Amino acid sequence: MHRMSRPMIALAAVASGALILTGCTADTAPSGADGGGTFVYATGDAEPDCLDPHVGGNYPQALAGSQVIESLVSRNDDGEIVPWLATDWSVSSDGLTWDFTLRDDVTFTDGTDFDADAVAANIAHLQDPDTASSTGYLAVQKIADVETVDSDQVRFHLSQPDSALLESLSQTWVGMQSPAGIERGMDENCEQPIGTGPFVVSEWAHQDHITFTRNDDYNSAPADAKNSGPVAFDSIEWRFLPDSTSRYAALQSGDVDMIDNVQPDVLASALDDGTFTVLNAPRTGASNRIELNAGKAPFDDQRVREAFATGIDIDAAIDSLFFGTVDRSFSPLSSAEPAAYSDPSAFAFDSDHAADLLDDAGWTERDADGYRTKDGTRLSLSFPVSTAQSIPAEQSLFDQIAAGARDLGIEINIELMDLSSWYEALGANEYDLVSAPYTKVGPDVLRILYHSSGIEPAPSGYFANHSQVDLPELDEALDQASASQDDAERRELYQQAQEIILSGHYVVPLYDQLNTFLISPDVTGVRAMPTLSTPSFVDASFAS
Amino acid sequence: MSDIELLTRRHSLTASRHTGTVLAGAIAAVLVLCAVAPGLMAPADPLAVNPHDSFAAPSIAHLFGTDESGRDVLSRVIFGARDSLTIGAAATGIGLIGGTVLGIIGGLLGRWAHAVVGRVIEVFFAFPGLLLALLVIVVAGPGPMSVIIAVGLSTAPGYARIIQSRILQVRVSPYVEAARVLGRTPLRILTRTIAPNTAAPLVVLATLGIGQAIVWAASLSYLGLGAQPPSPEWGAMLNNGRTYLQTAPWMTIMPGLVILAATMSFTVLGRALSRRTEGRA
Amino acid sequence: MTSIAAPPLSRAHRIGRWALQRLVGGVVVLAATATIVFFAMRLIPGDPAEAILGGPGSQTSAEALARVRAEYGLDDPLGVQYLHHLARLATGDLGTSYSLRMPVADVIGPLLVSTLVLAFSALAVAWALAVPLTLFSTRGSRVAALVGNGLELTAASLPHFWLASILIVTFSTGLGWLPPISTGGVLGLVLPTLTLAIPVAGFLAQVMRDSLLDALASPFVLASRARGAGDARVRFVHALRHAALPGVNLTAWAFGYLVSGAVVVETIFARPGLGRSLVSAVLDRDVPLVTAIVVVTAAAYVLIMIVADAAARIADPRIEERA
Repeated sequence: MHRMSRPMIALAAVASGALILTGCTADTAPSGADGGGTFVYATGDAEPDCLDPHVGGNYPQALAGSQVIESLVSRNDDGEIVPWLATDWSVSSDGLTWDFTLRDDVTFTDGTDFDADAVAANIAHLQDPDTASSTGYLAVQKIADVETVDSDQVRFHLSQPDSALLESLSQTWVGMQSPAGIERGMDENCEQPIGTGPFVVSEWAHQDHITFTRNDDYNSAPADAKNSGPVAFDSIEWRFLPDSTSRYAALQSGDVDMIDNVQPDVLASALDDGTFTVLNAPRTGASNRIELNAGKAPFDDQRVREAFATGIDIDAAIDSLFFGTVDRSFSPLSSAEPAAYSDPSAFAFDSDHAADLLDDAGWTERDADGYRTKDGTRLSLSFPVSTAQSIPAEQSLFDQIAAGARDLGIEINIELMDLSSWYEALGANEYDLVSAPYTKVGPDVLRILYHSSGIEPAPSGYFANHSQVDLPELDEALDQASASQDDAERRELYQQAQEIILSGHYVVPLYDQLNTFLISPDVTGVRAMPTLSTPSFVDASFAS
Repeated sequence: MSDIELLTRRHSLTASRHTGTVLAGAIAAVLVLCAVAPGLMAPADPLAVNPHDSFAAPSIAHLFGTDESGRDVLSRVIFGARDSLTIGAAATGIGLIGGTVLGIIGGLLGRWAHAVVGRVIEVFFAFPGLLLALLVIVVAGPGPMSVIIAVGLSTAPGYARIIQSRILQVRVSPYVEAARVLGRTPLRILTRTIAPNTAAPLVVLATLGIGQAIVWAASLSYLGLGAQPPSPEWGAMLNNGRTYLQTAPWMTIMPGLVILAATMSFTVLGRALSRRTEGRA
Repeated sequence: MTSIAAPPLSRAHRIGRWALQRLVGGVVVLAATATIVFFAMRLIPGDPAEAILGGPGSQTSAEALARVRAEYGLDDPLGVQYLHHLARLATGDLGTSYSLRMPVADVIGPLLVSTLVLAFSALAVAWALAVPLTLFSTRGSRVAALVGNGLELTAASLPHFWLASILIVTFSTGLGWLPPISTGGVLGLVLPTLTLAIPVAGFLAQVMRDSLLDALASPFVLASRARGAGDARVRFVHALRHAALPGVNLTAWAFGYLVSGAVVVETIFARPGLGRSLVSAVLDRDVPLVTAIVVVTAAAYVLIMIVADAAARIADPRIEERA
């Protein structure tokens, strides 16, 4: 779900899900005849503290963890749930009982059988407070009891209907790990989680790399993969390269075969000259957006929110900063979500209208610096920005938005801060604007981000509803969608919810939470999972 | 950060010293003028965003090119002189004041004070300078004030060491001996004899410190903890431009050259000053 | 340096007293750094209990927070916590890292080695660059002096992150000679080492040039010239040796500078090391890890100072009298 540490990169959503542009020359590959060899992946995402994605649960954990750990179900490029470790499922008419049929021919890489008991052990592990799971915990929150009907039949009893259950289960954060592995305790399982996946963690040299070696007995690819057996690569060297300049230089020099978090200018030139294969896979869940804190003045006034959302030429800024590689978003959801609803008209640039709205709202006076005032108070907005979560181009975008706001008479104070201080500022309600990425499979992310229950902070001070939207009709639509058994009705309710959020100008969508990769032309078959957009090497090999 | 100590070492004769000093003085004068009256010097508004004119290479219209937001790099460098020189000067000021207080205590108040101050200085040296800066910024929140305090604190021990040794030197000099023999009070000796003889090197130190403080502040920008946007502080510009090094090299080369010119000219001036003061002593 | 006046004592006695003083002094310095870190880490925003439970933004329960507070003694008065902290350190117990869930000693062992390798190779390269530069700039020609002076100043004024980018663009992307990232081999060490070494070489060369020029003008050099020693012999054997002394003193200082520089260099070149961990540990509020890194760095600094001091005393017994 939430919190991807580190830069997310922006890029045009040419199509939803994974898209591989090929255009490569057949060079001599550093590989064996079977397309194997060691593949080097360089990530700009943070190094996880723990490789077990049940613990905590952030994006870097999903990136690395998905090479090792697989889920009960997956999702295809059309957004439909497809079989993975579970071959079939059904739900009772009241939505409270789910039956899953499991594959009976899969074993974890430590030799433990994958069966109903293993599923029960994983759900129990996620729900155990000692695991300190936050993302996975939320995903399985409504599972009250797990019944092992048979070795390959498992039944979930829910406390409330949950239409998002399958989408939640498709996430790596709820992936299936060997019960024997979990038994070893958190310290060991963090270092080397054991799954059913195409690779095994064989070494983790902290601050340097993880070595994944091939699982020679692999037989459990998701239904939409081409390959169903062991992968071609002998191993993956998964390197942590936080500096974007060095990361790209390493790809250019051939020291690595693939990089993520590509900077916009690099991406634009790669798209131009075709030296590298571009893989563009927007992260699922929410779009990248600026949230307006409607819980306090001045954004408790709809007119001020609308003035901010329409008074600044954001399109032009995005176009120039991202070298035309990114499309503006007008939806609270990622374009990778089939349920995404866009409303460009709510954000059409019109500075005169914005100025009128501010006048109407009573911000009519100007102070010596040219900023609008009301009752002697300057129209000043505080915008804490986490340097760990915004790439330089995005920080420049905020900078340009602040410059545009100045023309409107609005002062925006951008404050760059480290992640802990940033959470502290949010917890203390010391913000008017904020940009917080949130990744989750499926439109239920709307309930997490905009339901009024998300305003109440957790004991740690964390809360997800940064816009502090508190509308009964929105809560109702989201609750109904969550309980609905009917896909069409569910879709309709999520659209209603998005209309309310957009027309109320609680958020200013910017672009998808983009996720771009550059791949050496010697490599083919890399795809991004349509679930969390993490790279999958099940079908990949070195070209021979 | 006792780079200062190194830079103060006396420079023996080199050729073109005079020309160098004059040139350095001219550069420094221009920079100070930029800092005092940037509006007079800059061709454009340093904050005026124009997305349609971003990443423009240097030309007649934009001598130093434009940045990712279409802002004129030359104007930003000129306006940045205020932020950067203020950070440099204020940080050096804090470092000098802290260093002087420590130095005076250690140099004048006898054996115990000397030992204690020596230990304090050693602790500061043993503490990685960047960590000290990092802690200050995380505690106080990012911003120019934090950078000034952070850089000031991490430079103070270097100054303290120089000042203390200078005081110890002066204390055993014939002037002070003479004053003591004449029955002057310690306070009078401090203000009339020791202070003037220690103050001159302080001026030199200050000149030298500014350049190093600017470089130091730039490193904090790289860690995302330096100047806040849209401030055209030089270190922040340099770091910002680094992202586009291959697309728009002027964004980093131009502020880089200016930092270099500033550091070099202040250092050359500082050395020239130190030669004069030493020549007099 | 440490005592103002020493009464006449036997040499053995003096050496013993000196060693004891340095040792006690070192321990005091370490205790003081540990103290500063402890209180600074308490001042920064963020709840240590939350840092233990998965860092910022985690959704931990109130019970879990309370349990962790009790377990780590975070509810005790600050003074009590501080004394516990010092007592643990005194027994050599560095604790367990909040973020990595590993004993801190296991975490920093390899990192320390990696940073020391980088720091010492940078020192060696800095010397290798500084000596020829010094000899070149003191050849007596105007042009050489000007160029030498310019190079020294430039080298000393370059921020690490900028220098690193330029080196990568030139030697990796442009020429393709060297890997832009640390690859474990010697080749991967070249660019990070150069990035750290060049500014230090600038400082070193400035200091050495001054003393070299002094030395060249000194009576003993004039005397050896008068005895018919060749220019090269005078410069290399007599004067340079004299000039190197302040450089050696500088080397101890440079160590602290290198550790600060390592923060940036290790990040850019993706090298594991203390500097890089330091930043992430501070940002994660990982108190045990920050403390350990600082204390270990301080200990290394203290050791190097003692060795340098001892070396200087052996080389030049007059120091004892002067001290």
